Amino acid sequence: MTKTLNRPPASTPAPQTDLTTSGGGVWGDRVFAAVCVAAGALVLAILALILVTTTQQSWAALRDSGLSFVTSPRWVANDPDGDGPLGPRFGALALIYGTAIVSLIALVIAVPISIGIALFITELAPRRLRGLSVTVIDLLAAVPSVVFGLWGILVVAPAIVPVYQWIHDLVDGIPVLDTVFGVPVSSGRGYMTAGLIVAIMIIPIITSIAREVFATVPEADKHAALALGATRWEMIRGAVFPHSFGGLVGAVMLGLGRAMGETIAVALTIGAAIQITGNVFQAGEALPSIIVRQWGESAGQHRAALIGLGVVLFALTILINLLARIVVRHAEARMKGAAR
Amino acid sequence: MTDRPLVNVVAPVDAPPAGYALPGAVDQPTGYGSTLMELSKVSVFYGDYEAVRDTSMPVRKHQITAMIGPSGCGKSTILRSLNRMNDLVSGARVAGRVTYHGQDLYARDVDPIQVRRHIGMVFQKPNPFPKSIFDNVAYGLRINKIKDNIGDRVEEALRGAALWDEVKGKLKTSGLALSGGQQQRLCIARTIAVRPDVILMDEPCSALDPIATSKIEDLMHELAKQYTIVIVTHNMQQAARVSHYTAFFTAEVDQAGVRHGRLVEFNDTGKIFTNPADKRTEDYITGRFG
Ligand SMILES: Nc1ncnc2c1ncn2[C@@H]1O[C@H](COP(=O)(O)OP(=O)(O)OP(=O)(O)O)[C@@H](O)[C@H]1O
Ligand SMILES: [Mg+2]
Repeated sequence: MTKTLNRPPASTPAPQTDLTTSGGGVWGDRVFAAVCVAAGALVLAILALILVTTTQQSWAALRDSGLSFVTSPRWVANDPDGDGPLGPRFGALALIYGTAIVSLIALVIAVPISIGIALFITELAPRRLRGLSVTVIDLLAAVPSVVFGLWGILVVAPAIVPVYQWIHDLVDGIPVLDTVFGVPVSSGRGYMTAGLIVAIMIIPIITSIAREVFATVPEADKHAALALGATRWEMIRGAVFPHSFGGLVGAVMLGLGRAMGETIAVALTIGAAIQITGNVFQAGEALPSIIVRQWGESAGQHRAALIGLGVVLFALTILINLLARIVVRHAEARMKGAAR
Repeated sequence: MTDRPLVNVVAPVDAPPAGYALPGAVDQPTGYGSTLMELSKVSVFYGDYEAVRDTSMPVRKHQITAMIGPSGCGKSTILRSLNRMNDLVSGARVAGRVTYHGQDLYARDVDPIQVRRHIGMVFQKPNPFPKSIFDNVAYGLRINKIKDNIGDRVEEALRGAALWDEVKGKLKTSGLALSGGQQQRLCIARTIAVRPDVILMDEPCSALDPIATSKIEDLMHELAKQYTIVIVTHNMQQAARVSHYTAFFTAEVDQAGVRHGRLVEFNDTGKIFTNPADKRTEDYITGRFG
């Protein structure tokens, strides 16, 4: 670091043939590098701080519950008969399950739709329609989540019960399916409704990133496919998708992050039932939604446990992001070979 | 300079009589030398701009036709008009007739996808898909709904592109992990796997070193036994080495001051390089151009 092998001391004027960078440039680069490193470090520090303080705040509950905090499905904040045998219990499994199911439903619905819209915009739509579609999707992103939640609880939930009932009747008697699409809850508030609402909320993010990703596919690759007599769709499968895999995983991950963290819309539409059931038409509860629901009435251990849920959610999102990174790296290494 | 032939001509020197037989060629495929494609008065427009004007020339079966000329004279434009790749450029329009087996390629009921399945294309920059070598070659077969013996067809195509011996042990590795010359032969394999009739090549060697280039040139001779080839090249030696016919294009400024590409001369490669009919051709091949 301190060795200045090729650089003359700043005081001696550089000769004409000197190829080393001038002093000003070096300083500029150094300052820039330092700013970048500092910004990166700051982000990491903030992340670490959040993790440390939340863990600290929730420590009392985490220590008491131990591993059962994440393995037990029983979350009983207020023991009905005082200090009876039940006692307050803090097991987050049902809530983790709720978050997982809602996010899964949201992804299953949103990913194909978003990719379809992105493909339409980048590959198929005539120029005029392109701008219009982009504007509409961006408008969707501008709707506040509480509005989505209210719309879900006031309009979607009551209207969708007959649809759930119809699906349930359709698959009645078919093993597995008739459990998954079981008897719907009468309010219409449940995993499925929450998943639907969250799906609509994450479509704009996934679409806009997928659009960027598709736009980076080289024309040369598309032409190669078309010159072999590929139709548009065959060209998309052969040339666009292989190039976009990594980027699409990234897009889905951002959507998933948003879905897992979505709080108010889920709180309004999921139905607030702490249970684990395979029936997606039933009511449930998720990690962020229970935090807002119970925060106001919580104190002591209960509050610590709610903060603990935040820690669990945070850890889960980080874990999933790391996993996605590994998947992408593997896939890209395999596809691109040694080149790049 | 001018009296010394610039290049070593191996292509037929004399104007071939009926049948256009190559001297010394033994196993000539049927239909050899007959007209497979024909351009008549073809002009290509990009929007209002007429990039190439009034081009008429034949493309002969199992022969290699080279297109040469200075940059911007419309070689690629004409080449792309032969398999309707110009359709992909918004605003591009082709006037005149391009026929293939006597059919007008631009007739209303002609499907450009079908055209491209018969008339394939190899590009200037090697552009394998980011997939395995095998999948690169199999891609065309799959989109053509060919399901049987994919493995055999892939091997045949890779052999046809003189690449098999170099890649047979690593068909599962990425096509992008090959060298530039290998990638270009992979692209040729991908094109011939679907057994097209005609292969269009737009400066296929310009991104390659001399050894890779000579491999591809040898390959072209081999391919001409089964396919009809049209190649655009900037390299006159290459045109002289590989082609049977040469079309020389140039860019001309008309009265209105607009540049258009024009076909100056079409003839046997030997004629073009030893005894060109047009002064402009002579200037170009002797390096006195621009
Ligand atoms: N997509 C396009 N849109 C508009 N004009 C184009 C397009 N492609 C080519 N042109 C124009 O058409 C003319 C011929 O271009 P073309 O690419 O066919 O030349 P070329 O002979 O292949 O040149 P080069 O040897 O440099 O590849 C040029 O003036 C060029 O600017
Ligand atoms: Mg060109």
